[in-house]
Amino acid sequence: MRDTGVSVVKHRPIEEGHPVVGVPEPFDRFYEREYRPVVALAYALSGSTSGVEDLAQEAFLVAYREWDRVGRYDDPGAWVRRVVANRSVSVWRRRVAELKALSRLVGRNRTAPTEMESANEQVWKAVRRLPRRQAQVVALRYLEDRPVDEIAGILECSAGTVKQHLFRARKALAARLGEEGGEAADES
Amino acid sequence: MSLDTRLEEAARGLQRSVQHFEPGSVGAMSRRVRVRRVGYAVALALAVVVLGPVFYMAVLRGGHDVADEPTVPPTTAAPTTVTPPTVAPPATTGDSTPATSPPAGPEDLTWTRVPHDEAVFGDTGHGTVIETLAAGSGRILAAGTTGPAARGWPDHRGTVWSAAELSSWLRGPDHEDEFGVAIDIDTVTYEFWDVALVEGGWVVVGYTLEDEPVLPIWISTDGSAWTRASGDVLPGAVPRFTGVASIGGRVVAVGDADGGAGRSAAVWVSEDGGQTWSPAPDVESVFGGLAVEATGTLGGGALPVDVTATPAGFVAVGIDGSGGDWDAAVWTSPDGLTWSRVLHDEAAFGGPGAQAMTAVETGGPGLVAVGYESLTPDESEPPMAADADRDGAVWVSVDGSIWARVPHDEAVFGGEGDQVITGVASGPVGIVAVGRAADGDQASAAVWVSADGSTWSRVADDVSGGPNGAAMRDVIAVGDRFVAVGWAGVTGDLGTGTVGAVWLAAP
Repeated sequence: MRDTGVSVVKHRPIEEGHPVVGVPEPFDRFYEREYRPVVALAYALSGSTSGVEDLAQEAFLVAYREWDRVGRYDDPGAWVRRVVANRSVSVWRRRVAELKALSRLVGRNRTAPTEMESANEQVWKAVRRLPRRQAQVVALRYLEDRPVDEIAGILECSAGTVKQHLFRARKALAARLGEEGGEAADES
Repeated sequence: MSLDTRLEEAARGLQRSVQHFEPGSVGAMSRRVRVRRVGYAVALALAVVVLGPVFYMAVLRGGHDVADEPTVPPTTAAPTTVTPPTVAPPATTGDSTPATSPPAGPEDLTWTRVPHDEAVFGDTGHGTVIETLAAGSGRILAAGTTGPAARGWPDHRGTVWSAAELSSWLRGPDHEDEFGVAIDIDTVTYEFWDVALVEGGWVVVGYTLEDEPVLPIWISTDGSAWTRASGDVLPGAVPRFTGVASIGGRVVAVGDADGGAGRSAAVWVSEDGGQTWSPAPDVESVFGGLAVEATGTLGGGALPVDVTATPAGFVAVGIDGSGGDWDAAVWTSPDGLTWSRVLHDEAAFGGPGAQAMTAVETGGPGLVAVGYESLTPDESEPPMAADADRDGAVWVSVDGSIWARVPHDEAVFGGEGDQVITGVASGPVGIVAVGRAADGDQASAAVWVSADGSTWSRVADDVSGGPNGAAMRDVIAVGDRFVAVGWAGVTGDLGTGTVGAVWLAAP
């Protein structure tokens, strides 16, 4: 596994309907450990420089309120990522669109770039232009270094579907970024 | 540099850049989220109020009838018949109970909503809407859109639903790959606005935004596997279709197209069951050219919104701005290629304020059209602004050439707030029109019924379970029953949105 610079627990596919019996870890500890990687995922998928923390915190807040249930899952972190992944490319885009629309109307300037945008932004912009599922698969694969079965668990789809999305995403990204290796994915 | 290397570098860069983010305390997180939610609510309210007129066309596209089956009976007065799906007893929920006495008319229909199934009709974090439906070949096919919670924003995906039994619905293809949509832009949107049974299968029309100009029409032989129809679209003038109808293998789609200066009427015709399409000739001369300028002001032209099939040909309805304000308008065509405008009759189509037709169907004396009227202070303003105070409106005609407006009755079509009719259907029991009634932030699905098309009554609001953000968009008759589709408002952990909804009405 790559050194991601953050603590990554070993993930297992989510079985949301069958929580593991036991005592959940303290929410504070879970929140502290997972916060930054979830913020990174939110940024990778939403591209928002001003609201990624809101997006991440809303997901954590849902988990917090349901912690007695969510905390007993095999992988509560995967559950939070599913919420963030879904909201990043749907509800979040709506909010961004609302704000952009308002900006056009009242002539405000768009949010100024932050240091986050300089971090290989061209690559993440290309990822965000992918179809929704493809973008999610790429972010979970490369940002979090997750294998196909874990991604399938987070996104509630089959491993075959993940491989298909990854294949198409790599092909599209290779074309857009002018890179080699778009079809030579390691899809294990 | 390989793609893998570039992606891994981008991942490491992003991981480094989030290290300065501090999670803070759980209590602070909770407070921050609450504050931000209030902020977004204010922003959204501002957007709705200020931008309402900009998005009026999104409202205009309304639900549309589907008297498109090749089995349309040969007399205009007879109701549309279809090969009905298996009719199961209607699901009863809550306090709904079947009528105990023989029905005297459509006002005695018992309305129930098909129980919500998240896997079929969507979850609370998204905006799922069912716009339209059609019946035939032993099934019902419905079409709509799934996307962000708010309608009119980017990132919507067309979705299809089907039912072999009235109360048993399945969600069909709902991914861009299955509809051949090549998405290569940030603001992904393609939506399904009308569906029709045609010779040899089904046709779905709507709107799409893609890198290349593409015709927003899809065809299917079985309602499950879809391919794109073909037709040459000029760059900068991609049509979006709000209505489709067929007579045999000839299929007509109506809507508008944006050529840069604004929106003009679009009428496209297929003569091979929907596979290949081309624009009808002389559309500009019949419909009057630019209808809505890019600035949002009237351009003097007209726009068709819906079309239906009759034994004499096609009838399209819509709006016309040539008189300085919006009036209702009707066009007829024997073949879908050559169109004529029904002579404007101020008493029928005009009057103070703005009038709009959103749907037309065979029924009543021959044809029934529905829509709405808006007595806005400024008559040049579109009648579809988000804060409009509209009233429902109904028109009838024997043969499509002469129309009469059903006299406005404030108790039936008006009242406090906004009443809009977007769909109509005719069956053995009578005529049913559906839409939405809203008063402030209290909105509910609304139903109007008539035995003959001339005398109407409004069904109580509890059809949709009270003010719950619901709306009906379209309705069809299946045997002696009616099936309506639309959406219901929901709020849950994943946010506020809409879920698709299906209602059944049985005698």
